[in-house]
Amino acid sequence: MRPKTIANCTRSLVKGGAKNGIRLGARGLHEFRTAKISFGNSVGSCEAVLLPGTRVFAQASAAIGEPSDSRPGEGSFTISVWVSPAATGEMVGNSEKPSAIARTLERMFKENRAVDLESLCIKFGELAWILRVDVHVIDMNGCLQDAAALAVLGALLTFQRPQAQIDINTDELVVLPLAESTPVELHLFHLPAVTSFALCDDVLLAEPCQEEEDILPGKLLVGVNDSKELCHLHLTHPIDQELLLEATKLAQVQCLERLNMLKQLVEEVKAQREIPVYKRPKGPRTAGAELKLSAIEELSTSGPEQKPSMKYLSPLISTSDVNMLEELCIF
Amino acid sequence: MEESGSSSIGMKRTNLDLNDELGKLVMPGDEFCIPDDSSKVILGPGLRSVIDKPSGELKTIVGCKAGLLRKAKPNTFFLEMKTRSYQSFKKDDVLGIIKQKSKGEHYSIDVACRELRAQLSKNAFEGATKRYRPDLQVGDCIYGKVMDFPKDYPLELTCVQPSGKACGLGSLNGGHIFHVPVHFVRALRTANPKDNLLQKIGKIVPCETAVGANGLVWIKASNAVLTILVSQLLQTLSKANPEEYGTYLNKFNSTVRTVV
Repeated sequence: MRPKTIANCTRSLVKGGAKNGIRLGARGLHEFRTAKISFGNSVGSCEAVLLPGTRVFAQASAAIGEPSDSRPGEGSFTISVWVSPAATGEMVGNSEKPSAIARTLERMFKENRAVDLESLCIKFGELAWILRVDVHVIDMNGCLQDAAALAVLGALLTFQRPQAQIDINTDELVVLPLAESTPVELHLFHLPAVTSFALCDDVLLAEPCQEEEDILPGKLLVGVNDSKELCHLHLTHPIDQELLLEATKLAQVQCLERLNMLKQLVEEVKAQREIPVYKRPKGPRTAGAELKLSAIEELSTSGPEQKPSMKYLSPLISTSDVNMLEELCIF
Repeated sequence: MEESGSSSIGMKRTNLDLNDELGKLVMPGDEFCIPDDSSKVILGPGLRSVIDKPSGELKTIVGCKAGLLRKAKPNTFFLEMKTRSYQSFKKDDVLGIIKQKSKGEHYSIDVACRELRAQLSKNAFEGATKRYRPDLQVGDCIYGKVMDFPKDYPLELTCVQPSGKACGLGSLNGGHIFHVPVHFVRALRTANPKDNLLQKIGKIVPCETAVGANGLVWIKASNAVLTILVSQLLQTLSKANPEEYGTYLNKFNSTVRTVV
């Protein structure tokens, strides 16, 4: 583990080095980190690594619940961030960092309306999907927001939920099992990504490491989405207009590069996933409550990666539905 | 279970012989029998002796970490482990950063060690008296020796040798301090001039160095750019295989020539 106290000699070296155009890591001043993205077995899990030494994992999940009174026609979306004590090297996590990451993610994904929440509504004012993303910081070496945003976006893009609808005749909630229906993906209006800079007087350092982040006073976060629009800006230090423009241009190129990489990887993952093809027998659809276990067993079973998402269906509906859901979880 | 050297999976290995297992992997819980000959055996990091409580006799030697068993010259056995965190031993040379400067008689020191406090007496410098002693600031680097590590008390450091001279210990000015994995420190500290990495680097870039057993390394070259280059090289080497050291050094040599 690295020391928590920063030595005076390192402090002056970083500041002097930035003016000479050399950094502690073997990178140029405007050179960004190498990103690696991988997806887990369960639906909607994504891990983003920014070399050297930042590793963030995100898992998306959804449950059925009641929408809020102020927005009855929308589902809800929450992001929670957990920083592992193993990552910080302290037994008690630094309380400042998780909230700072959560704030950035909320501004990017919630306040910028990246996720289409209206499509999560099942019944106006009564039933809606509650989407949730858990972000775990596994290892940290600066640039946590960048990695976290990438992981959350990866999780949202690969997430699938089962179809849920209200039966018109019986007015009951029907959650179609994943084996029977094509799973629904989330609809995203735009794909945001963020990059960070450290400021040393009039020099920009792209994606600083932990030491640079601690030593240099200024920090600048620039978020850009896939249509090249600026969607997030966070400053902790006064900055020249020209420098800000330069940072925005650098961020734009880098974010688009990362987003293209992510999109390509997501497409590869989706191609690997087997989407169950189900031919429904003719006649009216049976309600979820009437679906028997014996009927389900005849269907082609879904792939192993689709099972976990069934667990997130919360039994908020009615007792008959709960029984049905429990039966589904068994097989 | 009682068979000597039984090594089936899921079974505890007992009655192993120290000399037979040299260079092999030892897992935590492996038990070694005490050598029959009356020669003295010294146990290093990763090995522990278990004493039978009522009789006070030595029962077995137990491995308490996972690592390769190695032997040093006068019958000393230890485990070579790959580790990033430091475990303190008496007389270890360590590098530290001053964390806090209290009004009392001690500086508290950050030695890059989890859950471990360390302190350095303000008088523990060469020729220091109560009136004339170095005034160190928070963030200064010191090179010290572990004097004692009492149970439940802070680790105690000193910056003088028992002879009263500093002999290289003390505060360090300028340069750069950084962390490498603890197992890499062994490669930097070997006395053998053939294997010594720092000597090879010193031929390319003359620099002052201090290597602490706790994984901290302090480097000072003639200017900031060279200092950073050397620190980058050492951090790359700490992740590389020993066979690749030569190619990295050659690459380093050519980059230094372009800078100077």
